Amino acid sequence: MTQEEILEIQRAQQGSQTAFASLVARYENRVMRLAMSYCASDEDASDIFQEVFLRVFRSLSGFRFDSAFSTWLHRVTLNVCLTHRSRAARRGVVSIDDMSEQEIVQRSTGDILGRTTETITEAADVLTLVRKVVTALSPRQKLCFALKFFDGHSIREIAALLECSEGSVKRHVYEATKRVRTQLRHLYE
Amino acid sequence: MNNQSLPEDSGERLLLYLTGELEEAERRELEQRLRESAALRAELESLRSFVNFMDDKGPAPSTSMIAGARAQLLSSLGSRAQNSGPVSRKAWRLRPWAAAASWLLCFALGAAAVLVFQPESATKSDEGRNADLPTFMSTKSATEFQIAGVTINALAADSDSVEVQMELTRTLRLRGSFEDRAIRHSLAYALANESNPGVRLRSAALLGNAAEGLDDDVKQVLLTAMTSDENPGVRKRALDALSEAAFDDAIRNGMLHVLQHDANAGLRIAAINALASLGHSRATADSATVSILRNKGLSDDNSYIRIRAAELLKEIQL
Repeated sequence: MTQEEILEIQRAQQGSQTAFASLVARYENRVMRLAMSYCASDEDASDIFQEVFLRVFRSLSGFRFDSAFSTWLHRVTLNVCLTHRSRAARRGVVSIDDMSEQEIVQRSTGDILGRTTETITEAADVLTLVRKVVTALSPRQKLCFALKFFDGHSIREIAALLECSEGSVKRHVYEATKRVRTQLRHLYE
Repeated sequence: MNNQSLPEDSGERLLLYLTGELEEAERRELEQRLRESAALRAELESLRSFVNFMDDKGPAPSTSMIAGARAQLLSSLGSRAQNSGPVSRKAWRLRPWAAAASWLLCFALGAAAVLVFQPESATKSDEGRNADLPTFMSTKSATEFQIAGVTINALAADSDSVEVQMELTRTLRLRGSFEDRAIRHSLAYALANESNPGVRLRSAALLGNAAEGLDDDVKQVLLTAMTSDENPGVRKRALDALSEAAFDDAIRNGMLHVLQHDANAGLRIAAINALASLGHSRATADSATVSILRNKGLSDDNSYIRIRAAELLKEIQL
């Protein structure tokens, strides 16, 4: 952490809204990206974003600088993701987490953007398809996959963030990779 | 490729091998198996294509999405502050004349910000809008700009002055080939300044398409990204882009810096491979290069780099 960031956190801990807004500005992209890797819907990703920073706001006074602020924030984000209940689920619509694997594959590859995956070539559509496929993974798998491939973290770093074993992260990353590869093979081979 | 013909754990090991996270003994064993098995080599190449493909496919939140979420958050926090005590309430209560003054100031600041920060090239390339900057401004109202994060920093009860702070954003779309300087410079700007690593990564990757005609300042941005970006994926993409550019001392020195100092073995491997393919010869190698390669050949903790450095050194000294 830079001295500037430490001072900013301390001022935010003392109640400065300006300092807290600066912290939000510094990390908003990172939090939103992870939320978007976790949820197929932008609305849900924005809900996670709100919840993360509200939780940080409420518990910032308890931050004791034992770790980097970014690590602490990352952990908060991962915890919020793992406990998040989508808007669809709250409305009683079937959540992707409740679907069978077969249903997930069918939904994520069969009718994205109203077309079959084979016809998707535009860069923006490819990004949408990748997001749909990744967010259809199990909660742990998608977090491990996103941290590995989108954020460039090592297995050891992911294990520390998720507070689990490196072996478990390796398995999640590999299982996720297998499923994503199967569905996107025509785009990269 | 029939995965059934491969040992069950080979996929996981290949993935770790590609990301430079396999233990030394495991890596040696896997390399031995790779030499013996064409199926395993084919699987490695397929996995490598996938890893490269995923490099720039992370979600990239739009500016408007971020601005909207931030505004909603700060508004929630403002409400909390209002409800939390008399001091906070006072800070957020505006008299009607002060509110009017704030918003007038807001629009004035918006117009000024656009006049100051609007890049000339972007306006020229703005699709469907060929008007120059003053005309462009005169046909737009400040309401077209997204305003977020409005805060009132100071409001003295006995004064006519008020200070309002906000962030104004407006989406601009540039479309053009990599021969267009505005495109190259926009990508370089994003690579140098964007906080989102996914955007930096894509910018570096795209600049690889313009590598043959790189301007010096764009090349400098790529060199800085290659040697000091916090994200290894961005550093790798910048290195790939520079590998495509016309070889010169600055690029060679940048790659030697990566080889010598980057903590990521994958980056060091990419750097030494790029140095080898840049056509090093006795003529281009100086004593510093030789010294770095000798040092790497003797002491890098990655055996591939040690072997490659020794090979390259031999090639140079022949």
